[in-house]
Amino acid sequence: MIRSILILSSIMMASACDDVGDPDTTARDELSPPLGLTTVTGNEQIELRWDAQNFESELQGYNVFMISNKSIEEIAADSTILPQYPELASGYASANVLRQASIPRCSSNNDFFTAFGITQTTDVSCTDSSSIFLNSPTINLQDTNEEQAAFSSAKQACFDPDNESSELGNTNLSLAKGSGSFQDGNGTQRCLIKGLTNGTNYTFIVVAVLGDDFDQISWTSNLADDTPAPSLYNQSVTLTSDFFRTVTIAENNGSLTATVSDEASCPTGTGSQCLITTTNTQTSNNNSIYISRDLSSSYPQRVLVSTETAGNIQILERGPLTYDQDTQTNTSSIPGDMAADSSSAPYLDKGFIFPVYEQTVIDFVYTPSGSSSNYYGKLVFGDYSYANDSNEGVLTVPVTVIAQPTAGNRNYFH
Amino acid sequence: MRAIWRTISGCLILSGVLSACDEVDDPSVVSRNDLKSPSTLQLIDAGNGVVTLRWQTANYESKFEGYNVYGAKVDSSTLSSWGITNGDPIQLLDDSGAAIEDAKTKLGYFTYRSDNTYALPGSEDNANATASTDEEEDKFSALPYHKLSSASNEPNLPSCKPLSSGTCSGLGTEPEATDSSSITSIGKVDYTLGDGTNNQILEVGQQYCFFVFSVQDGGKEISQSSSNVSCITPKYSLTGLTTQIPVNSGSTRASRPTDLRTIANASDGNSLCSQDSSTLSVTCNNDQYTHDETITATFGSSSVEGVFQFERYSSSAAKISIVSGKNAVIKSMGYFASGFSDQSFLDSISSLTSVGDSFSATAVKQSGGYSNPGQSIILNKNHIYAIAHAPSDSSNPTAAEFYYDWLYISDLTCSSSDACSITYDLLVSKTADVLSR
Repeated sequence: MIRSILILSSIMMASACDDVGDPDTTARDELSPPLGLTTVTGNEQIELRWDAQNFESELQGYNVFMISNKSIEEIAADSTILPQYPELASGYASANVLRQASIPRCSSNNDFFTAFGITQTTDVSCTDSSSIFLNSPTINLQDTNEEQAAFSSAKQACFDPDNESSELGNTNLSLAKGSGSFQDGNGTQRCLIKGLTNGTNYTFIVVAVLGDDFDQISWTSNLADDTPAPSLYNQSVTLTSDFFRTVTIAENNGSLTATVSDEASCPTGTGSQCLITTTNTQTSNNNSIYISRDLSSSYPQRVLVSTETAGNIQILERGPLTYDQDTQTNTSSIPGDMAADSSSAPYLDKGFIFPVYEQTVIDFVYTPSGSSSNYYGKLVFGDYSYANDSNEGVLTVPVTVIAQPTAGNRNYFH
Repeated sequence: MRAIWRTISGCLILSGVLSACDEVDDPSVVSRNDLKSPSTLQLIDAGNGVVTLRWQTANYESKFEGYNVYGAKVDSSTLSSWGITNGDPIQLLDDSGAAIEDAKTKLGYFTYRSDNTYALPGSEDNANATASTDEEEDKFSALPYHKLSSASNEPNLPSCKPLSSGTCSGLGTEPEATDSSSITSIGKVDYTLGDGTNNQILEVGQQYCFFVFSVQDGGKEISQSSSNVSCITPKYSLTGLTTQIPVNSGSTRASRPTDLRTIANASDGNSLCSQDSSTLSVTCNNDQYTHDETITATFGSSSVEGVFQFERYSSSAAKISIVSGKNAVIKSMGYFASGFSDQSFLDSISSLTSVGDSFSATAVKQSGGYSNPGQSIILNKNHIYAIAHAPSDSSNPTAAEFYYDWLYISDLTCSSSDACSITYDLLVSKTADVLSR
């Protein structure tokens, strides 16, 4: 038998089938869960993005559920709320597992869904051989008014990330299927969750919703967590040739600030923060990141970044992590960006001076004097503009500083 | 006549009409409601003609059994002339379920057959396939990549089955009998070409484009659209290169490796890498890739001895820099713990920005965020750098003259009093103006 020969004559015959009647299909088997849930950190808000392949004619949209004050790490450590099905040899007590898991709503997983605010439990068995669950990724959501109310109450409201005042859902849905390219059930879907508290951990799951009565949901997306954080600084900065500025980070009662100094003339000689061939041995700003123009005559337009050798900040270059591939724009926060862990990533020795070019992200970790707490953040450089297109011209560059007010939190990322 | 979709086979035909769907040999196109297409196809260049295809899957269908991989050696202008767009899927049906007429023609270009000039390597091995002598209507109008069954001499399909998590296992010459009811796939899966287990090595410096279909029911049914089309131009790879730069107070010490141009340029016979025209196996003579570690001369924007040099300054002996020479610029791409195969690198960096047609060594800033020739970039462990370079004898190089290579620092140990040691990998382009990762 000749197998798998693609003859498109069958397609040609399909053209006679334009008059399509009621499909005798069972939609239950084809409701794919959202995939690849990830987050974009914002100020008192978090944008969720997931991949969708939901072409079902009865697709209504998506529901988002959230746990406050609990990261994925903390969920993994809480045996009372971990999912129980599908059974995994290693279980779900691992953040890495939860970040990839897809969980169905059935009786064994009631505690998991209750943790996400769905207080109405289900008695649908996960393991009964007659359960539709074993063969279908779709299950009944709500046989009763109580269940429907529980889901409506627990779901989060989605807003349009490009128009934050525009809500994308309704009474029954966080995000209702629409015609917009990020709302249509095909490809990347976007949802902005507003009204959050900076510094608080939030964990999310998303489900697809099917049926005119919103009575079927998919298995969940993977879990994703994030912590909203404000831009501590977001302005254009000017820097005259042979001058420098400092970005000073301060912590006070659980909040962080970033202050950009006036520009000052570069010191000369060994230890100057304005020469790439030396190290920054300044001692006046131990909680600062230096942004300097190159003092040498060879490349006066070059921008150098450093911290003091005896300072409290380490930095790590992260390259051009400013391009959002979904929206095709440059931005200071993109899906999935996150500060590198200083316990494993090679943050530069303090005092190192290195050049920075436009559209570059610098991670930093700030450890206040006398403290062992590490505060993570990032410094983002936008496009460079030199006055008169001159090497010695005044540089203007957008600078953004984002930092997590909670020590140890590296989030702007999943 | 009211059309009824037959749910068992998913055939999109009118019941009662004599159709190819009644014949088990003829596959049908299944709507996306009933068979999910693969998505977000990424191509990962491991170097030397070895490429991994990675795509997202969401297939629970009871008859789902695997994926058909299509590929062709095709340049961008030819691809465009075929009506195919890099980044878009190939649709077999439109939203109403009607056939898209030119889909057959598009797929035909990718047929894995010995008489197809665009076919992937190794298609000549299938020249004796039983079906190729079939006098009936050509049934291989769009055959995906495959091996021939040693028993039947027929295509062993689908191209691969997701038999283990994260991997789409290519079928060899023996039939794979796993029942489709036991096969599901969710998440990303990998399928590697040229690694010795699946397929032939690809030709370095030539562009290849790929796409993937979902398959079910013994290959009789395929998804209505493919994954996105994705293209790659494989590069040469040298791994585990090492050099040491001693400390010497009062001076600048340097290590100048063999010029990158020598790796890829085979025209003068001095290339360090070569690919056998028949087997496509690649040989890179790492032993000939040397470092001159004694030089102290200034290397900069007019230097033609090499594309780049490693440098160490006595005034900051604990750090190492990379410095570009004439017609060469460097861009730091940042920290990626796993180097070129790091998933975050694959997700965040799909291509580079061109140096552009207005390249000037003395520009205030280079297009695309690159350094200027002669400028130092501090090296850091687990960092990737893009190096763009044009021939050193070109006075005003255009964008089309630039080669884009990749450098990964896998290890870097340095103290202010000892020699600095660098271990690094290179992906070197044989072809100019290739911006893709």
